Amino acid sequence: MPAIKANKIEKYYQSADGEMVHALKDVTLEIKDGEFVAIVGPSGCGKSTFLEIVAGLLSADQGEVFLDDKKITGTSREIGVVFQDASLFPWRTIKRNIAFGMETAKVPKEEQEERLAHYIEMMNLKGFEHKFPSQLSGGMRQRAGIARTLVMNPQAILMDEPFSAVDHLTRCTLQDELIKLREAEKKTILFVTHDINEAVYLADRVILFSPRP
Amino acid sequence: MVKKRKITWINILQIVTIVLLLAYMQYAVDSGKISKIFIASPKMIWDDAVKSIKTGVLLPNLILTLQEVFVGYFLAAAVGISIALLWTLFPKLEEYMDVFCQAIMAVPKTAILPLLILWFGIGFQSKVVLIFLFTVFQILYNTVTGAKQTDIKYLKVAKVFQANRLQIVFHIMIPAAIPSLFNGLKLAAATALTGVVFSEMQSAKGGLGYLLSEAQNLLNSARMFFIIILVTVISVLFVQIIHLIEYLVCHKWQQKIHDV
Ligand SMILES: Nc1ncnc2c1ncn2[C@@H]1O[C@H](COP(=O)(O)OP(=O)(O)OP(=O)(O)O)[C@@H](O)[C@H]1O
Ligand SMILES: [Mg+2]
Repeated sequence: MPAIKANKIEKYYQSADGEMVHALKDVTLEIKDGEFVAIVGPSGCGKSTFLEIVAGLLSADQGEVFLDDKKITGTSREIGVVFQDASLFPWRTIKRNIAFGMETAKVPKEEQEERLAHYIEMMNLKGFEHKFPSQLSGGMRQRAGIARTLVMNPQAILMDEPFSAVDHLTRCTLQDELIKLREAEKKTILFVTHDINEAVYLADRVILFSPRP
Repeated sequence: MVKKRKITWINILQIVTIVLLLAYMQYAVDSGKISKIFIASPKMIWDDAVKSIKTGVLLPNLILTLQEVFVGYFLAAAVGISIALLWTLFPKLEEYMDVFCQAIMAVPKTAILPLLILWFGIGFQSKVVLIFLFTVFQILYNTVTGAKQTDIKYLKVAKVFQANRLQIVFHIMIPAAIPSLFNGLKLAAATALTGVVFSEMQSAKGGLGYLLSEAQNLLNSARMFFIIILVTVISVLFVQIIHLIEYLVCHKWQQKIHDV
């Protein structure tokens, strides 16, 4: 498993009225191989921004991020991302949503089916493969979003408030599922949340982001 | 989800209103309160409808108009959607073509009718071209705008999964544009018939618009009412057909407000 190293990250946004927003200031962070790190902080403190920089979706204005010793310059198949509201494609069935990454990677059909069967089973989505996201509950959608990432077997997984859109009970179930999953497949995980309890419950280490500088 | 609608007292009131209105029209014309030249009574309209069908006046003209509409409309849909696809694939192409399309779109279509007649004659071709021009841009721009408004979160997912440009366009931007594509198709369906009837009224050898202007010249109000009603019904049906196709294509995944 890889380690993630962020070195003196700075990020500015130009807001619509021309004002500069200093979203990230001098963020240095090291996540060890196989470690589960949670980032907690108030809304607007730059958690998502940081996660997207690590994911290679955004570029930092200064500083750099490494996956092991490779500098991250864009997205890669080694880093999986689970988005806040699952971000499933509404026009694809659950199964085809989960298969999306394998389609873009041109994984052979038989292997796709095998891996799909495995993760659909694991994420408790059996019987819902041919439903569309709008026909599922929020918790199921979230599980499908996680399955879509896991099925690609990335070495590191970044999760941006993956359980914020579901009710408390579903959330507890999903949390326990995540813990089990982690025991099953040791992965490096970066987990963003604004819920400190969730962070402490899940993570080996919790990092606190302070409000905007 | 098709729900059976109950007939409420409002529906009954609506029906009563229509019946009363028709009855009054009949009475006003029969009693000579309003001249037959201005308003035809429901009976006269009905008789004229039957007559125009029996004498074989209606059918060939109806078919001609429908042919013009469908050929023009389907050409516009095919071309509009194709260009939208090309623009989405090659943004440079849009940058180049956009200004020309905007310019052609800005010309009032009715103003170029004389030119079209000069180029294509007063028959079938000029009507098809006019409908094409009337509708192609609605379809094109609705589709392109829909593709551009693809939710950024879907594009992020695509990036994370290393989708290439072709995959992004075909698997994400095009599906995301389908609802606005259908909006364009519906708008175009409504305008297509307007366009053809207008141009047939100006100059034509046949068609519903031709029947309408002929009736006007003969002060045949019953015929005018009949054609207007017919054109309205066709127009509504046309839009409803597109609606149905949209429903068949995307009702499974589209979340409607009343389903939530
Ligand atoms: N595209 C953007 N343009 C301008 N400013 C932005 C943009 N994205 C984020 N920001 C600003 O950067 C700051 C950090 O945003 P970010 O989304 O990273 O916060 P967050 O910690 O994830 O908040 P939340 O918990 O609400 O998701 C915020 O002040 C936000 O207003
Ligand atoms: Mg956020």
